[in-house]
Amino acid sequence: MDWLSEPFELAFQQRALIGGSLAAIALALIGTWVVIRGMSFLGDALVHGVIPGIALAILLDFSVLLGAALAAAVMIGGINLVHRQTKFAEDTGIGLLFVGMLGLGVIIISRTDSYSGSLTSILFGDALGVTRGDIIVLAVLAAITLGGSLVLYRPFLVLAFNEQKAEILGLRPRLTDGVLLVLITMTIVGSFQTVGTLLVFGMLVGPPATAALLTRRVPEMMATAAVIGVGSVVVGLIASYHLDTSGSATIAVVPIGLFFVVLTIRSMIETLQHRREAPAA
Amino acid sequence: MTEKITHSTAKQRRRHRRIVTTATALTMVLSACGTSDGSTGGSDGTDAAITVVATTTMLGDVAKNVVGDAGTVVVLLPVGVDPHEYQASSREVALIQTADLVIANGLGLEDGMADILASAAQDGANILEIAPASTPLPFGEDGLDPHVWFDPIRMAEGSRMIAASLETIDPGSGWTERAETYAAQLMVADAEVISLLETLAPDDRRLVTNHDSLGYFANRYSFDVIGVVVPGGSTLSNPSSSALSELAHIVATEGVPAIFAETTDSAALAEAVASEVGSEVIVVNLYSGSLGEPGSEADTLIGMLLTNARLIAEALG
Repeated sequence: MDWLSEPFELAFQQRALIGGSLAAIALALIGTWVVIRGMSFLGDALVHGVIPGIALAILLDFSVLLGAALAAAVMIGGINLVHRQTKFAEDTGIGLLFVGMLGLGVIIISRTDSYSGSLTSILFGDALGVTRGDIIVLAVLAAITLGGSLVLYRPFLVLAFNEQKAEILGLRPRLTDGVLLVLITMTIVGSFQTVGTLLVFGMLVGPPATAALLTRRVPEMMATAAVIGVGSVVVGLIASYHLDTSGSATIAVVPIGLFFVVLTIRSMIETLQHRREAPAA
Repeated sequence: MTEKITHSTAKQRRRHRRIVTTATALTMVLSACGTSDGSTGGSDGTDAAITVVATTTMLGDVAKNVVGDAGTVVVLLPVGVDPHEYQASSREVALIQTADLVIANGLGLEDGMADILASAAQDGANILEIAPASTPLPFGEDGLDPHVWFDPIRMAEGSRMIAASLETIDPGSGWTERAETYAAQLMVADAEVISLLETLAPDDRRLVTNHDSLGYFANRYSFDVIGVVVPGGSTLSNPSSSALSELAHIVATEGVPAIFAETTDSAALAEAVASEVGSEVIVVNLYSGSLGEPGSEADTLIGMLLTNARLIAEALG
């Protein structure tokens, strides 16, 4: 058992486990909606899209979270504008804003004369460097996403599967959409500053997508995704310790690997079932 | 299962609030570090001996000279890797936590590990940051230059800081003596660098570099850094087109014969500037963020400083 417990003996390892798990839960809940509604690209784009806001916040000395929120608002506003005023699919607008905001971020960073090392470390956290303060942020985040998913479950669900029906039912799809976007942005920004971009990318889409292969019902999907997410944190931390590999990156790779394992097993089972059914048909 | 693990092994740890940045603050620290129970030992079974962790290969070399046979030195960064970009593994962070002494450069050099070093310091890891304690030079508008290892005098002082720190952990194991021996070697190296550069007239002593990393070298040996290809210190930075063409103009009008790039980073932009100016301008790779491969002439700090000095003397002479 030493092999399993040794990677969790020190305080930082326990914080990585707790912080990583909280982030995994928040991202699994929000990521389920992201996967169901096909918003993965938007999620990835948002992580890079907030960089100019954060860079400005550091340069002009105001709250980093406020800067990120402002940049996210600009980005989502821009995407909606493109979506509404053109016939392009939504991913075109996301692509435009993604590159535009990231480029703007690099421009701002490159304009600064002073050593911008601190900026890089603020932008990209590391699961192995999670502090007690970070854990509180992540706990609040997980609580908000859990609360939001419970309270707004029905509006989110209807919105995900039938936008017109949402209108008829008086569920105000525009507002619901906005609330969901705010939740997604908050979860992404809050967790990537504490546990790192890579881990957020991995956890936002990986566990919910894997869960979607296994179950159809949304609550089950969320629960499965949360379990997969937390399990990935545990496995990733053990692997990072024994294989001596970068912490956040190792955790991020686990759910992606699991997705393909599950996909392979599922298609093998389907092929077998198909063969068994074929003679009868 | 995960909860059980957390609870069964949770240990009382003394917490220290700040990163130790000066040699004088070193008398505090260290008590909760150095877990002595054998179960955490893993593969490196160094029970009684002192364990020292160094972040960069340069600091690793200094540490090895001070520690000698009295302990083990573990260097985190691999040879040839840009220290700005390295991210540690869980095992390495555990080592940072349990080592008797961690030697870091500081001033933002270890970007990818900033989070980890800060939280390890909070947990009571014994971290000595060399650059902030080495009377750093200003950098950019309001920063401090982290590239202190280019100055042998500062590094001699750094080896004494390491010895002083080890002396408080395990007094009388020859730390100070070895540090003094090494400091003397650095002084000899400094004299050698001066004589290598002797051929260069004051007019030749103008540097154009890829990153702004030669500030301490320029300061020590009376050079001027007249142009830098990549602005700032961040790896995220990119130069503007006008800045590059202005640099090409400077290189051409000043008649600078060489642009100095680094072994740890791409020289593509430096090459672009050089070819813009003409064939007589060459791009020379210096050892900057890392020592050279083992067996190369730059596989120690002193070797690196001498190799760089020789390359600079040849290129500008």
